[in-house]
Amino acid sequence: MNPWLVAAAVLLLGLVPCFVVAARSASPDGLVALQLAAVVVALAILLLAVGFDRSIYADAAILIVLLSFAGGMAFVRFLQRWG
Amino acid sequence: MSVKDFVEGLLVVGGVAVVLVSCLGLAVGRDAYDRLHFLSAGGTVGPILVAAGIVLEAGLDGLKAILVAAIFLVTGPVLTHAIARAARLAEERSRGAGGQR
Repeated sequence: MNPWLVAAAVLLLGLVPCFVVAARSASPDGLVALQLAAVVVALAILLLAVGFDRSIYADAAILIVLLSFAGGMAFVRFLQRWG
Repeated sequence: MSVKDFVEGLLVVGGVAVVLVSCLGLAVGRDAYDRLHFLSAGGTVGPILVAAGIVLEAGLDGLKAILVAAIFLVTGPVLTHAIARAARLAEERSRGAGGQR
C-alpha cells in the first residue's frame, strides 16, 4: 500500500456526497453532482495508475474526462428542452 | 525523504483536499448555482494540483495527467456555463417568464 493508493482511496470518499446529492436533488443539481463525481473518479484513476505503476490505466482517466463532457452536454440539452 | 518527495506529497494532498472540500460543499450548497461554484473550483484546481504532483513522480503517466488536467481546464468552464444556463432557463420557465430556448 503506497501513498498514491492511499490518496486514491481517500479521494474516493468524495463520491459519497456526490451520490447523496445526485439521488436526492432536483434535475440541474443532480447533473452538477454527476460531473463532480466524474472529476473524482478521473483523478482517482490517475493516482491508481501511478500507485500500481501501470501507465496504461491513465488512458481510462482520459476517456472518462472526454465522455463525461459529452454526456454532460447531452444532459444539458435534455434539461433545456424538457427540464 | 527528499525535497522532491515533499513537494510531490504537498501537491497531491492539496489536490485531493480541494476535491474533497468541493464534494462537501456540493452536499451543503442550497441551489444549483451554489453547487456549480464548487464544481468549477474542484474541477480546475484539483486536477491541476494532482497532475503537477504526478508529473514530478512519473514520466509517461505525467504526460497523460497533464492531458487530463488540460481537458478539464478546457471543458470545465464550458460545461459549468451550459448547466448554469439550463438552470436559469428552467427557473424562468417555472416562473412563467417566457420560453426562450
